[in-house]
Amino acid sequence: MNKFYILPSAAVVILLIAFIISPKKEFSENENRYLQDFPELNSETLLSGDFTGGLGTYIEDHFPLRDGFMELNGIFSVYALGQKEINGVYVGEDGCFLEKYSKPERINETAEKINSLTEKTDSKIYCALAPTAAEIYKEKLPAFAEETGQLEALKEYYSLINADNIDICTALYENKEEKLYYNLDHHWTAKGAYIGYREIASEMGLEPFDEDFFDIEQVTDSFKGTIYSKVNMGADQADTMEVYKSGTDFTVSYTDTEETTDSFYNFDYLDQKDKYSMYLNNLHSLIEITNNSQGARGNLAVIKDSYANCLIPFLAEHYKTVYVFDTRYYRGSVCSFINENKIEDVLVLYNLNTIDEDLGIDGIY
Amino acid sequence: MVFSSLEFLFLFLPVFLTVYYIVPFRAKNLILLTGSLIFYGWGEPKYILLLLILSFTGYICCLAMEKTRENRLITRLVLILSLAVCLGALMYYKYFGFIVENLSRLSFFNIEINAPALPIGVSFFTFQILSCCIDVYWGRVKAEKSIIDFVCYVSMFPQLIAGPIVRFSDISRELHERTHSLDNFLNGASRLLIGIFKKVLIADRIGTLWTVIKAGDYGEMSVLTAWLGIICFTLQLYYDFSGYGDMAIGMGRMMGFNYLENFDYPLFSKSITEFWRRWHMSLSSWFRDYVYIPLGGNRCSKARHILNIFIVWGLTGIWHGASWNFLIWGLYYACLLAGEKYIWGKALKKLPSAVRHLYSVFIVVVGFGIFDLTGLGEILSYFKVLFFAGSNPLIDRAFLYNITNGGVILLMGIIFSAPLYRLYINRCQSIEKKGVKYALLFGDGVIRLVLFGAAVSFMVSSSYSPFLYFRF
Repeated sequence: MNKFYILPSAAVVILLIAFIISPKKEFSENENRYLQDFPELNSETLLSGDFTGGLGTYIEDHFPLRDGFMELNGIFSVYALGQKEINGVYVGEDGCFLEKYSKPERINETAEKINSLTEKTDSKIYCALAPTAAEIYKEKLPAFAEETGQLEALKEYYSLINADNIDICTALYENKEEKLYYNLDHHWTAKGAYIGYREIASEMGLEPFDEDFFDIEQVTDSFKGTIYSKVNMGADQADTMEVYKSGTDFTVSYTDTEETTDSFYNFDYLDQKDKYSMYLNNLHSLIEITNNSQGARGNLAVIKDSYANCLIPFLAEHYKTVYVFDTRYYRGSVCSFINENKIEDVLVLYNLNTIDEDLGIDGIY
Repeated sequence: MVFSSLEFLFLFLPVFLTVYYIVPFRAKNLILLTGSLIFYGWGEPKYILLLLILSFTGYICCLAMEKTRENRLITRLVLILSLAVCLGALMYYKYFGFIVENLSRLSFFNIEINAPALPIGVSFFTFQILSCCIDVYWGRVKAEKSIIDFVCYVSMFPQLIAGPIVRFSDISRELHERTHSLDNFLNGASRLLIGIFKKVLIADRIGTLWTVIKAGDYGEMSVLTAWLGIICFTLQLYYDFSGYGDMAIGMGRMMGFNYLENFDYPLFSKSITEFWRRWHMSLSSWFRDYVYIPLGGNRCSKARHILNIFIVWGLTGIWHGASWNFLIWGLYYACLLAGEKYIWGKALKKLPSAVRHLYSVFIVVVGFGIFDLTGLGEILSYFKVLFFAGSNPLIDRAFLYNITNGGVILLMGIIFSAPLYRLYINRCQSIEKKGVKYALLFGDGVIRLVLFGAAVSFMVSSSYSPFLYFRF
């Protein structure tokens, strides 16, 4: 018998001891969830299987070197087994990560919801759907990976939506040499949003500001977002984040939490994992942005997902007032709000992934 | 609780083995029994009662048959009672829903009854109890006197939920005396580890390929993708099932039990007859000894022999699950086995080995297509793709992508389905030079440690569930 076979058994004992003595975390930042507490033991939990189930989860959640093992799994899958995807994320040709795009299932329902805005209000309705990184950088997808199909989907959306539909794809393609999307997060960068803004503003008949107008400031270089949470590798590809600052005086009021500030950014989020939330202070059902400068006129309502959070500061330069809705949380009728406040322009801004998966669209009525 | 989980490997097994090794020999079976019941009731304790009732029935019936051996009639009645209880439980829990569902398709038969959930391992432990009762009836083995030892035999956790089906006659001696040694422990642990590798590193990964292909659109799928799909499933099932077998045998060995092998490189067979001698051996030998031979086996007329084959393989098929496709799968093999026996078996033997290997693998792979595709409609449309009956393209991007994405793992799966590793180990052991041998053994130990790390990382990662509400 090979005595070296004792090694794995020894590893079990060592890991078990490490598990027992190691301090237990309450919250996993990378997974963005609370970890399992030690389950309560009584006759009821024992009979229902809740105790044993909880105990199993407890071990999984507090396993020693958990994040290290996660990374090991990624490295083993990609480098030893040559796998081209982990947890729905493609490992691209040059080691970049691109989130898979799945074909939309609710195109008709979504278009109907957006069309109801056109029918129920007298405002001018604009619609802009942003592609994701997998489309713009599709040449980096692994060999033979399925075409993303985002252009086809976009075409279908725009043929069904009765609004002024804005093409931002072309401009993004033209500027793909720039860093338009994060490496380790599914959002576009401030730069990507700026490109999108130029197209949207032009279509709305506004004169987009040049990049020189803004003071571009890098606020972090260690952003590891949702893609990192899924693949747990590529920490060396952590992203930088930028904000485009202008001299304009704004009042930003978050109506749900009744906070008012003069900034689009909450830099407290830079100390956390979820750094993207610094744009417009994460999630709010309705944000009211007032531009206090002389030249600003008119008003705009934005119905959007998180892609818009870093784009809205640009549009706010042009309008006196911008109302930003998160229709997942806004309890009232957006249409009535638009009519009551005589809003001139309405922009629906989503990325192609969330517009199908997110339930925000259902909140439009 | 599955063996290849963190809770089993890092909680249940170490704690159990520590207690098991500390207690004196006479208490070991009681500890094993207790541990097995805890294991069985881990997720849902309610079926422990079923396990105990069936074991108890088996125990009483065996003892009763032993005591009434002079009176053939009573012995026979007791046997019938034990068969009725075990098979009745199996029928109720496993086939009742299926029978009712199919009866209710008939217009005059209209009832709605909720079928019970299938208790884990019920197909395995009822067959263990049955084999013991029948063997006692036949006088092949003496009834077990100790209830603890008997229930321990039925419920022993290594083989409780996924086999092998251990015969009482094979381990009755070891229930009363067996050796616990470091050698046994290491041998067993290394076998357990091989099972974990098979399950976690190969079966689960190949399985994800099959899951994707199976869920695809059979109207558009290319022929090669369809073939790749069922090849993946064949490899997944083999590594999954034989991996569980290795884990069971390994853990048995850690406690001094020697279970019989359940798989002997079945995908490396040269005929279907041979395949069934090497695939899930404990099940096929069970049906051979308790159904086929009592029916007359092959020592009867040709027609009767063919009928016997159809009965046994029909039952084997339906044993795998209460669904038509399993029955079809069993009968598919009945046809092929009868064919090999009476039509082309002799001609087959004259062909070169490579052709015979291909022939067997082809039949086995196609068979597993029937096995895993539920519903006749699904089977038909999938098989249309396989055999060029639709207008599907020969090859497409999905095929090329799957081949590049899963290529290494597929290759490993194919290579290790042939007895190469065994060859390597034998070669290592015959090396004379001490230094070289030592280095090879050390290397083997380290490779196992690294692979174990990879396996643990996979288990950790499947427990990992990022909650991305902020991904909106």
